[in-house]
Amino acid sequence: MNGPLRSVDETAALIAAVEEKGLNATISFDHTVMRRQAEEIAGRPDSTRLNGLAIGVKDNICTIEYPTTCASHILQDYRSPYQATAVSRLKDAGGIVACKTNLDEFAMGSSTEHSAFGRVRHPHDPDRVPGGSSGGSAALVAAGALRVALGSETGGSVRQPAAFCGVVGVKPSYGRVSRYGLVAFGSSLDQIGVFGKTVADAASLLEVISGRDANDSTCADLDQLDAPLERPDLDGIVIGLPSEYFPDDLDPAIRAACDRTIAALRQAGASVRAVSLPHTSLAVPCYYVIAPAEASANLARYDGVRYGLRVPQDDLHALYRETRGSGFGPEVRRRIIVGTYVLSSGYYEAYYTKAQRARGRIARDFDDVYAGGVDLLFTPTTPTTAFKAGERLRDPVAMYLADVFVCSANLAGIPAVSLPIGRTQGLPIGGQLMAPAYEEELLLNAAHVLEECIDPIAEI
Amino acid sequence: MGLGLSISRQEVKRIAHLASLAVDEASIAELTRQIGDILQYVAQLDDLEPDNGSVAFRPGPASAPLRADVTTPIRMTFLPREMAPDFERGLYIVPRVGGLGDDT
Repeated sequence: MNGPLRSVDETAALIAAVEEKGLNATISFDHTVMRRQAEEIAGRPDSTRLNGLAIGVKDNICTIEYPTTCASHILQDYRSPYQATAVSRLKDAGGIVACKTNLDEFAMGSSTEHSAFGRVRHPHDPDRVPGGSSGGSAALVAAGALRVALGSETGGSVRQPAAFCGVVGVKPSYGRVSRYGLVAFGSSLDQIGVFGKTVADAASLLEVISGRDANDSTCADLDQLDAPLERPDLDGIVIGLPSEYFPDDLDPAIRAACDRTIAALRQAGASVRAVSLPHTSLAVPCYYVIAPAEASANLARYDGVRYGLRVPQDDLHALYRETRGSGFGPEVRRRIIVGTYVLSSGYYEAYYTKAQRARGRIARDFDDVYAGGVDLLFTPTTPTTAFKAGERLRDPVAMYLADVFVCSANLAGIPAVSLPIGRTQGLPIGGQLMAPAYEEELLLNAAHVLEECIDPIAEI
Repeated sequence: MGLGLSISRQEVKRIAHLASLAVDEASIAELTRQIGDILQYVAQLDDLEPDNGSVAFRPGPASAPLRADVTTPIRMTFLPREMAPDFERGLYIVPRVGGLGDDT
């Protein structure tokens, strides 16, 4: 049996085993589909880079092999007629689309409870959430079924579940990876990201999917990322600690894990200094105006006419309303209504224009800190560990606050990585590094050095 | 205009209608409360100090590269008629627009 075939057989057995236990991390998964891809790449000379590596793909990224549902009833049986550039690139490099992973509907959520296919369980505690919206991808990597997976970020949807599940999650700079074939949610924020067991795994996958793409005019005119993880230490690197990310009421275990990590950064040769990002408190409010505004426009295309669910009616407008009312779940409906409201006549200036200005200030805060000699920022990824399922479902604002430390990077378009830095009561804690735009090589090297210095499963 | 205005049940229904979104009567009360909570929360944007001459931030490349203005075929594994709920002779079939008075 060739290498790729053996690899997919082993991976398929692992995925089947965790799904049997009720993880519910996949929406589509078919061993036969995996084997067919393995047979296609066997012996192909250009397939050696990933060499049959099985990769989970979040189900809002278009694939040919499997349906693309966005975990929504409105796209329940939808098959895309084309595949995302990121997927084409990983297949060209010898990767195999193992499965489509569960998510919050249209990537709107922080717990992967808002899925038409049911909630994803946390791999270490089934009563808890894995984070979101890329919870299925994070859970599969954390459960050991996959080494790597693709996710997507609009406001922290890779890093937050990576922190909750204890794996590495990378959000690249806006424009580093083509968005072609990523189902649009908030177009000025969306970016495909990667999960890995290790920084090296995640970095390899990011390299493969990155680079210019004529199909996405917002993709930067840059070559494929080349980020060899060769740096032995952090000598000469200045790490900033933004005070706004370490509030007095930060969970003591998370603070202790961060303190231990900061000591490790110093020991690796970095110098560490306190900095300020004064508009941080406006990041979540700003995000929850801009993202719903863009979502309300992007999701207007789901109307029951060209594809997806149709609820038949005698009148066209009734068809639109009933199809969308039945097809979208509660969180998507909420965001469409908020987005429509903030863009509507009389409220546009009050909400949308102010949010755009706030976004400019948040981005400028980062620019000022980096211009002041700081190379990277270190923060906790989340203010808490994984919370109990159902705990925040009826309180959207409480749910949104799970993203308080991650959404600024999306607003500013900068790259960031979350990696596990310890555990409390068995639950993972994530630490975050953020870099200036397009400085992924430095970011990944620093994360790799840090990964070597800390025990990611040590109890705090 | 300051933010944080409360939103009424009628306004939620009006916005849902603008968004072509049917909302069942039983869920309107909770939806109105939740939308109100979200709007109250984002009202923190009022704390932003005035700024003269700032421009909206746009991430990514400073300028988008332009392609030649020619159409090129998109490789599709199947055609629109295979995706559409109702499709005949190259056209999407939909019910007629009726009851315009309800929508205006």
